[in-house]
Amino acid sequence: MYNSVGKRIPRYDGIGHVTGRTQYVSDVTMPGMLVCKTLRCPYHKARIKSVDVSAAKKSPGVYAVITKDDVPHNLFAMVPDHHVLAEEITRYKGQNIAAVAAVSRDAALDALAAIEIEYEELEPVIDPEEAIKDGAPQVRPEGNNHLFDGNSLTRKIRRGNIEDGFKEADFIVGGRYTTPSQEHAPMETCCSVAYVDASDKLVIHSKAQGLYFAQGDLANVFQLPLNKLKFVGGTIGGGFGGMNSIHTDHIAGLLALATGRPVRFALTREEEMLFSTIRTPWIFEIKDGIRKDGVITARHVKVLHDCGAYTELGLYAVEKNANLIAGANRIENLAVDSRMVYTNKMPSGSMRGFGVNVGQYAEQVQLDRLAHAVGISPMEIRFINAFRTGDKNHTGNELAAVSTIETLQKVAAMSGQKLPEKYLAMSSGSAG
Amino acid sequence: MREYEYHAPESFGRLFELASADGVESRFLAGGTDLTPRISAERNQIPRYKKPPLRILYLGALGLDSVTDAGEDVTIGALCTLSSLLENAVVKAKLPALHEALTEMAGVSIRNTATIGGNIMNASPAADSVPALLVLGTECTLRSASGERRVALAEFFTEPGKTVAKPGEVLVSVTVKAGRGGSSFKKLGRRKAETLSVVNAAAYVELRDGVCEAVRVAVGSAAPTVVRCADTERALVGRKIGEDSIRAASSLVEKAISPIDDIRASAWYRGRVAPTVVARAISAAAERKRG
Amino acid sequence: MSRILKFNLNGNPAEVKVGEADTLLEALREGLAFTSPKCGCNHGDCGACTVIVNGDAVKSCTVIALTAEGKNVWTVDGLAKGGKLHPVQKAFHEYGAPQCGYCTPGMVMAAVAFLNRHPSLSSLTEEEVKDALSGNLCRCGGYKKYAQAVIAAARGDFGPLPEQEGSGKNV
Repeated sequence: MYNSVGKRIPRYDGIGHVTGRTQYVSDVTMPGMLVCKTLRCPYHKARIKSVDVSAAKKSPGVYAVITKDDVPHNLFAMVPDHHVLAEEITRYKGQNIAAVAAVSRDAALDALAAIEIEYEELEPVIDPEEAIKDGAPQVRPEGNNHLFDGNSLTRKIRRGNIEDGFKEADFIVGGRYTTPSQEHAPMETCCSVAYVDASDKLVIHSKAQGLYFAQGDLANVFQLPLNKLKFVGGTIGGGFGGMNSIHTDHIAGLLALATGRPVRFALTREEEMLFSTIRTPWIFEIKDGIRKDGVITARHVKVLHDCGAYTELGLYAVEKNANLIAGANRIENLAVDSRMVYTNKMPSGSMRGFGVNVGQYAEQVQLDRLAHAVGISPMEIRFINAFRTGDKNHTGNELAAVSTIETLQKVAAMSGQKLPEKYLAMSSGSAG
Repeated sequence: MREYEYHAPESFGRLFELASADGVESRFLAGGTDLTPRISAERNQIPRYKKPPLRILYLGALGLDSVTDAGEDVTIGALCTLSSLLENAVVKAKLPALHEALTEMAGVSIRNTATIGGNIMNASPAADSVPALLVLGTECTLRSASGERRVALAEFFTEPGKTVAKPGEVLVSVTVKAGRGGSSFKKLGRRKAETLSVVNAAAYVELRDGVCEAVRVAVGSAAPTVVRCADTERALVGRKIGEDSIRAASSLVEKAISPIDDIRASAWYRGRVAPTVVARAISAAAERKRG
Repeated sequence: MSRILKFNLNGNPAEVKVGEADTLLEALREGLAFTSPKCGCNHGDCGACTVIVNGDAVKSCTVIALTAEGKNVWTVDGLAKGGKLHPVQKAFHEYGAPQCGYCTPGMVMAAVAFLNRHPSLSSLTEEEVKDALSGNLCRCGGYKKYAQAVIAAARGDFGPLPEQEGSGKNV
């Protein structure tokens, strides 16, 4: 009696997509709409000695020019440490400093050119392994290392005793794994259209993936009660996690409030690629102890997450990564030490998996190396160590509906690998 | 902060008059697949700089879009789109390396707009039409207010983005020699379509009884301009063409190239793959002659 | 400076004020409020702005608007007649090819131009279709379904392909 299971159900918004009628935020136009452009810091790190917007304000077609002094509460993001418009110190190349609303793109760009800024370029730190060293250039006044719970350099997971586990091992296998920066590159660049409606509400057409997160966060920035701030979501041209961070909603909203006119703020592809949040780099060092029979006896993982200049979603990614870095394996003796460091780069946003999949890349390659060290197949090592239903995971939660073994069996079948009978007979529900 | 002007002159007289005006910068517009995004990027650039007005001179109304088959020579108008050439029977029959290059260039919607003249004048070291044209023996016809001159394609490029064309000189056509040999073009990109070459190569081979009588080999995206591979060519002339002789000759390609690191590949990688791409082009050219 | 561009849009005469360096994409989106061609990269790379000009699929961000003077331009808006979808539109919808949908209008136009020009639809191969759509990026990764849908449309699964406006044949 199922209506949908096993059937091809056309998408509810499919007709709009194929006829071009779907309206994305980039397609929203309002009568009298102004165009917003922002001036961004050209240095990785700088001290802003002075900003003069007086000529820009007089530039033809300009309705408003705003800087940090025009932002009611100049901090935003999930961990609210990111400035809407830069304060004295800029911490990454492309950080917004001033924003203009004008009658056209040309008028807005001409006004930006009329803004006078005096910078003192400061020494940045780009490499996360440099940034954790003593004496490294300071990204933030409180230091480059994130302190978990306000006092710990590492987010720790402890299970059993790794020293005992390593003693029990026949082989010790180490591995270092790194992942680079990655941009989401949604087809539609980030865009907001903001205006004050007839009931004096600030309305923002937003690409936000989490409208209510953004609404709560920005109510604070605008210092507006929630009933005076309305978010309009809808179909967006791709997010991939990038739209969990706010890139344009804040500035478009501020300019709509400042001008009383509708304002569009859309990033160019170059801005999207260079200055929006990204999946930032990770470094993993894994040390495993393994017995001749393929059982992993101990694992010690050291993680270094390069968070960029502001926390954004970096902390969330570190937590999720730490919980899952040891993979779908029974490991009785486990230690995870995750660090997060600030560098002078664009901040760490969420991207498809919040640090889980980058960790799995490291973990899966490490498993292959373990198999090689012991002289068994990559499939075997996974079966030998696989979680079963009822096991406790690495953070102590009892696992239900585990499917590691069934997944491996399916993968083997799909890729034409012949498995020994004992692995075909295994199941996640069985003991042993 | 720049004014833009657009003109689509219908005569060369008017074109050169517009191109010679003082106080403005002029750019000839062919298909626009390179120039238009560059102008858009400039219009969106932050910060803006004061620049003299840019005069965009569209060449589409000058009738430069025909292919003339004169037996040994084929003359191709600079404004022929890549798609029109891809469908052209003369190009397919007489200039196989060029035809093959066209199949590998960009994707359909860019080929529908982009022109052969634009691909040459853009003077990218990675231009795919250039190695093919180079091994086929091509002359470029430049026209200016003072008349026409012909320049061998081999002497046409000076550095990335630069040619011997003087300001006010416009490329009107290229004349390509069909030759009696076989020719081929091979490309290695980062993906199959809509991609710029990591390394590309073309070869033209004349054979008699399996022995190489004449050969021209060019490699692109591995030096500031597309280059001929003299040592490779010398190593093949007078030799029987086969897997071993081709491999040995292709390994000499490193003497002709000076690859750089860029966003598409490292210099090291380019150096490693160039001999293979060249060898594929030579093999295919020789095969084409046999077949 | 601004000029008036006159051309034919989806079978109707159109006039729009354009800057002399404006692209055809800007003329359509900003000048005429035809927002179906999307701006993905403004660089000729992504294909979201693909429209049909005189029968050929082109990326409208690579075209200076004024070069389209007097030409026949089609956007996806002109394909469905009286609420009746073009077979390519039907196929894309039925196959569930669009995900976020931002690349879809460009995909439709690239596919329609290709089918209009293709001599023998019954012998179409997946390779040919992939080549025809290779200039259109889909960041959601829906390529497979788009290609399968084009083959199905060519096969006639979604009705005969109209020799209508927008084809290369009568423009």
